[in-house]
Amino acid sequence: MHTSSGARATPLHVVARVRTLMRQLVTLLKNTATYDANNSTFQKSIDMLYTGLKAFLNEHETLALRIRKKEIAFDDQVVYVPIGRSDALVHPLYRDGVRKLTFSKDLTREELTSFAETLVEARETDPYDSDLVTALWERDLANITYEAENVYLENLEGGGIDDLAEEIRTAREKGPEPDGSEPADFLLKELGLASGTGASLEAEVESLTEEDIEKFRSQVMDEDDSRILERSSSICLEILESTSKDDVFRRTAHFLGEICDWLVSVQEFMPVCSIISDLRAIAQRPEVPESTREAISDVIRKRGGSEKLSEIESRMEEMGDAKREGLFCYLGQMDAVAIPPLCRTLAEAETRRVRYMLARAISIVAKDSVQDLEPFLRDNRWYVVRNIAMILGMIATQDTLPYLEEVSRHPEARVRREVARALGRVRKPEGLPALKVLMRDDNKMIRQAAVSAAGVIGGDSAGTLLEDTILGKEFEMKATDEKRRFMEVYGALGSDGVGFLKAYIEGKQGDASESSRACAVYGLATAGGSAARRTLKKLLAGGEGLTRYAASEAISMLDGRVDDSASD
Amino acid sequence: MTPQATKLEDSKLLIGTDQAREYQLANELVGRFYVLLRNTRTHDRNNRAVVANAQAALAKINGLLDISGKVSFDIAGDSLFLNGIRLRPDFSNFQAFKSIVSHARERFIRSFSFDDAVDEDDIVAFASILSAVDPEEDEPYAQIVERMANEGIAGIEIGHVEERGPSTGRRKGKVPDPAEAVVGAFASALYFIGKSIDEGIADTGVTPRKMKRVVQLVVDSLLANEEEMLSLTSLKGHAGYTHQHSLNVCIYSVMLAHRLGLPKNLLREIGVAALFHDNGKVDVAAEVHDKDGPLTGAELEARHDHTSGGVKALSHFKEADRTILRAMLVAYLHHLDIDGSGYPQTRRKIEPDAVSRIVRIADIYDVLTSPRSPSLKAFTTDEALTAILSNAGDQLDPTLARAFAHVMTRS
Repeated sequence: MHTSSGARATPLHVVARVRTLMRQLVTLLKNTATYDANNSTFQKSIDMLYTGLKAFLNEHETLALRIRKKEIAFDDQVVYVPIGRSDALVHPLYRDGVRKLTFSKDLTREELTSFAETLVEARETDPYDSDLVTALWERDLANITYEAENVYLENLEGGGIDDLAEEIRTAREKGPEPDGSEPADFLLKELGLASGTGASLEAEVESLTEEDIEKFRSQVMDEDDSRILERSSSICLEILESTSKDDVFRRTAHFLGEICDWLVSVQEFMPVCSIISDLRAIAQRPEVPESTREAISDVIRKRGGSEKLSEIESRMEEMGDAKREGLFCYLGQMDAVAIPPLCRTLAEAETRRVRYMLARAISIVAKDSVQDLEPFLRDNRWYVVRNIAMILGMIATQDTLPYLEEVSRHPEARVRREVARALGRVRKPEGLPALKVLMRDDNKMIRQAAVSAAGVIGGDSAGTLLEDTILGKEFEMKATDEKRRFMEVYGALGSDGVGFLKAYIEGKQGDASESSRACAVYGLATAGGSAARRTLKKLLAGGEGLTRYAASEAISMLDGRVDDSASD
Repeated sequence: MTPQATKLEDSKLLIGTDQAREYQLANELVGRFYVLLRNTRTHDRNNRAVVANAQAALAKINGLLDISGKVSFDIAGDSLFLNGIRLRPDFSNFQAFKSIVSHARERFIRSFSFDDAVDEDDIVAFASILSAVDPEEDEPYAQIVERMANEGIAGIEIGHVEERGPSTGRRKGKVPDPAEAVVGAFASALYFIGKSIDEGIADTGVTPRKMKRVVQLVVDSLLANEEEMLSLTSLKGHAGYTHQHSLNVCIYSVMLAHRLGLPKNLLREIGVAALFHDNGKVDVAAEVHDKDGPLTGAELEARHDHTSGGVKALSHFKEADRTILRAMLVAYLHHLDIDGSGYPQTRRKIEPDAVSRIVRIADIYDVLTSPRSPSLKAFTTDEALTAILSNAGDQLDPTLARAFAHVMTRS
């Protein structure tokens, strides 16, 4: 607002007041960025500015500020010049096109707070998506209005808009041009419509009710981002399935990836699982060119990068069971590139349920890339190695055995125990040598885990390993409960072991102590079958002491087994 | 929370309170006063309808005075405030609000208030004076004040825009042409969509930010001066058909959405989607595009490809902004009907979303009333609306079709 020649200049004391208000506004911006809304420093600064501004507006009705490139002016008088680089007022306003800012008399404290927040938040705004003018437009502050230039049209400018506006003015003066004379009814057919004679315009309009409108309004207002994202992803998939153009495919696939990221950010994991599954299905079609497969791989690979996964990481602990299960499904769809970041996340996870979910997901992702887990088996933290051992057990392929064998010598007992369990899960006789070593471990828990694992592997090799162990000198030194466990596991390998156990009980081989022989009796119970039952009955009839007692218990155990006769 | 969302919440919270009653009475008073203004233009002051409406208005004023002791209306921009609370028009009294606000603004009235001295005659006299003073005359505000004094109107006071500050940007003797701002917004949007369609989104540096700002201008202009904006949709010859068609559909869609009471942010979202709904036509051959007669089967098929073309064009954006996603939906679904007919037919069942259904109707209306070739005879407004209403129910959303007809016949 330039003062025209001869007009009365604004009194200096008024300009001074505006300068003070500007300083207070800058302080408020600083405090808005630093403190939360309840902080006393913030409260003080908003109170100060609001009181001053209201007093000014009560006298002058409005405060209109001109935003220039490096200053703010009031009635052509400079009232604020930013100092230093941390200018949160002039530059952002000017950059986004604001040229005039007007505060009006009915200004509220809330509006002033909202205005300050808008300016502060504008620092973080991605210029690709939004800007200060848009933010102010969205806030819709009734008593803080602005005038803005179309600076956003930068590279679209060139006088075109002005020329067009002039043409529009001319056309407006001339008025609408007369219509042509050729019938245009065919347009209805092109639009897919029946000819329009069936409706009474007035009656139809009158039949509109507020309820209908409210229903529609609710429908629109209730439509959240997730619904829009799901529809958009379906559309992108339709395009991907129908296009043969490589560039279109790449672009659409990239965009679909962006949609996936958004869905993930709002914790809608299941639709993403479905999208990735559809993408994989497209990639598997025989007619699909290699470039398309690469594009799809690229999209999936990007979702598994460290940056993307770190965005989810912080929220895993707070998720409920259903969301976590969705996340498991999503993570399980990742490419092998996700293994390192997922393992790092696993290492940092605080709760057992999150660790278990991550371990399951990694076991799916790493199924064909077991080697990618190797670096984590050398981690200094025992629990990291333990978790990887568990994952190897979940993967349970032959490829995992060399890694499990390697880590079976880990100094931490909890790792070795997990290795023993994992070897059991893998169920390959090739895992028995490692288990043999673990069966001799100093730690009883590990020995027991190892023997259980051998029992799970089963077969002749496991039987031979257990027989060798039972007959070994170290076996005599074991506690009774451990001996019993070994015998029971051996017995559970099947009725083929009855002969071995019978000879043991009769003292024909192995440790001849009564307690060891009694343990072997329990082995017969787990072996089951008629031969075991006959032997036990004989022991009950002719045996004595501990062996006889064990036989009595073992027969009860057999009697309690419903399917004993069936398995005989 | 958006302003409109606040409004809806507020309305819910207000139910049963004095404030809710005050809000309701104010809305009713606006409706009565609007009718009174119209009546006094054509009838004398003793006319039965005039008197009846003045009595009804007085009853509302007394009701408001009982609740808060004052009845003060303020006009700020396009909004009407009662005792400092912004009133929101609903679908049925939208025209009344718009008319009273523009009536007052054209005569430089920033506020009007009633006190307990007001009577039925004051109200009739005030309405008659407002109707009689032509805004084109010199100093319309001063004339109104003078006539009010001459008639001895005691219970009504009016305030001048100058007295309340230049927030409307107007000054005595230097009234900016409101139509100019509309032309500016129209030209900016037309230029913007023209470039985007002709040169492609990727090559013109279109970003969600730019799309938003262009459409914000359109929304603001439409809310400020709907009539002027609508009048520009019928102009031809200054832009390519698809450019003008895209902007027209944007204007009709935003206008319908506004009348349906949707919030401002959503109006922008709808506006962007509508503006870019035919962006895929960049790949449709000009001879198909501009053909002034019926299209052959192959030509129709080529034309149908513009829906997926629109999605392909919009996938140039590096990020999935909500505005872009909405535009994608509309670009793809604006020819799909609610019964699943239309195109594109997809393997996945994708129903047209609410915004696509709005744009579908706006699109049909503009295609029929502004055919692609000047040699074709355009449908009249009534013919086009009848066609839309005849297809409402199975194909077109019946609520939207009726609402659109309501808007277009009463604009």
